[in-house]
Amino acid sequence: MVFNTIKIGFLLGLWQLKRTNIWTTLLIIFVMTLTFLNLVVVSGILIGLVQGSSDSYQRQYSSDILIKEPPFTRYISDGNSISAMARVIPGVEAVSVRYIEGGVVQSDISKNVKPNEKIPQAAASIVGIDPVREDNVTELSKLIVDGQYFANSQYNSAVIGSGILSQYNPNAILGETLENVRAGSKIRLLLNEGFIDLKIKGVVKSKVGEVNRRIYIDRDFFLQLYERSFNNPNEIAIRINPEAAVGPIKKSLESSAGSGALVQTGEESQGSFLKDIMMTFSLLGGVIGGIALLVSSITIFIVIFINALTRKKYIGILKAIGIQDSVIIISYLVQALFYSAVGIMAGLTVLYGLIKPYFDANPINFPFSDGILAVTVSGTLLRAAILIMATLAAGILPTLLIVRKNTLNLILGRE
Amino acid sequence: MIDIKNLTKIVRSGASKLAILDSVTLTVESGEFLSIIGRSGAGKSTLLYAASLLDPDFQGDVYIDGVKVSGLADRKRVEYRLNNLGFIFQEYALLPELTAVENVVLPFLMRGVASKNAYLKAEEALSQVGLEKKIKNLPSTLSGGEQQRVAIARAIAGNPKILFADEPTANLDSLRACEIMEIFLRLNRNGQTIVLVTHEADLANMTHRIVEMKDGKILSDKRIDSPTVNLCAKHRVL
Repeated sequence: MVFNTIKIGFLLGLWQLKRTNIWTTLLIIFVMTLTFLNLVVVSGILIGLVQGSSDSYQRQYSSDILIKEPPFTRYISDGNSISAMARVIPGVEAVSVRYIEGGVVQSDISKNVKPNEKIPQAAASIVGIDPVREDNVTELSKLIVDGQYFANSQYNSAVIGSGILSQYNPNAILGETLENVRAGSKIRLLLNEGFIDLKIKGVVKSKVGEVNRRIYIDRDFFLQLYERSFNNPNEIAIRINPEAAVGPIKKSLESSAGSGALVQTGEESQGSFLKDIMMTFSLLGGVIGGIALLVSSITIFIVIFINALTRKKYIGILKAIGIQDSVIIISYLVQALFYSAVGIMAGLTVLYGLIKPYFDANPINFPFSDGILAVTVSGTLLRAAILIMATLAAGILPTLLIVRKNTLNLILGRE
Repeated sequence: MIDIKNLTKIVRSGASKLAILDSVTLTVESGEFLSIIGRSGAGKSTLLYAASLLDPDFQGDVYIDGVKVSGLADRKRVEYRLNNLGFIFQEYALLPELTAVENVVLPFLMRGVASKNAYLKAEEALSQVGLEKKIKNLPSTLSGGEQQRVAIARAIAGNPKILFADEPTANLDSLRACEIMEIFLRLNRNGQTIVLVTHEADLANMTHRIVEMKDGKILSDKRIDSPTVNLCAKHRVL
């Protein structure tokens, strides 16, 4: 009996769909497609904005695991053995050890400065790295926008972050950036005693603040300049195989580092700020998605209601010839389901065939990140399921309202 | 057999009440072909709607084959109509998106007849009314007479105990009206009980019994000993 009811309801719905005006059907499907895209894309962009920033942070700076000095200490203890150990852990692909000091750099050093004239200078982090190993972890060389990357043992050479250069930051306050510095220029690094001039090999541009305001020099050169121990780095960035799990590797490193270093995953190292923003944006995306869902529910309610309203007489006829209310309701649900399912399929095609590839190739240029479209298959399917449920709920209500009326009144159009 | 006892329907018109049906009592025997005539507003259609359970809002009782059917719940009423009653409306009342055969097959499917068999029965019903060549036509491509014949095929599809027809020929020309009456007569000869509402005396004279109504009451109830049989022949000649 139940099966027969569903079968006839399905058949009736199908017949009606088959012979409904094609343009009306296309219009409804178009509205459903837009609703679905609204549901997925708007929240995807919002989350993608922060996700893009988080991805860049990990790709260009922290990598999968970042070991830092513990709080209230200046260096990592026994960095040599930690990095040596890291290199032999299965799943680890590359390790870069970084030595960091705060410093002040000056530009226009070849110019004759008048007694009262201020020399352009800026504060920056001076980072000593093994250029090849750093490149293996963060692909720093790919961020070069002017000049070239540097090789090992290139003393007196530096790669400078674009955040320190005025031409990349037109709105920067005087004293925050250096002027007229590009690849081939010389800058002066002030030391505790004296200074040293560095030739700029290249300029790196990144939206990650930690990369953008750094000056990279050769590790051995750095250790010499600052008289630092090879065994006491400030950061060790570790890239692992995408197939490998971060958790066990982090645990091994923690047991090896003891209390001499702070081992964090790339995500953990971002701190709560980015996570909070991401959560806020997710919430915002959820609210906007909820509104989109409400709009779509109202749309389908109106569509089904008008459809049922204009067909009141025929609903009455169906009842008059012995067709049960449940069959009529199912026939309308089939139509609602058809509109939403086809709308969702069209939406999925547009999303994964057009919008997602477009955003992947052309991320939105936000000041602090390259905004990507954060959509996952599971998230998309969840939204599709929610939309279908909402459509069914919105479809059943108007049909129920009409089907319950007096049969004769429906046929004679008395209500 | 249908037994209508003290059927009363009162409608409100502003502050006053109007009895559209006023204590109507009527018995229709099995196999009878009865026509109800009367002026517009006499209550004939209202009586038909009440007797066929399309309108449950009335006082009094309706018995079919000794079983009280008035007062059934909506779901039961729909089920009873499906299995026992056929109804033909003045304006055909076909579903416009469904072909002739789809219109007729629906009640069969609803009764649980297997799809293939249901279609065979629907085609058979359509051929009974002479539409075997137009089973796949949409109602919009059929003439008024053909549409009414599809409606008749749908109504007789499940061999109903009683066939109710509310002015089924009102929108048709004389020849088409006659053809519809011929179908009714043929069905009746095969034992079908028919209750027909009409305002055309010529057509009423083709039935076995004429009930005349006025102001919600039965004015007269007379049997026709020799119903007109050759009315259509006259129209065809004309």
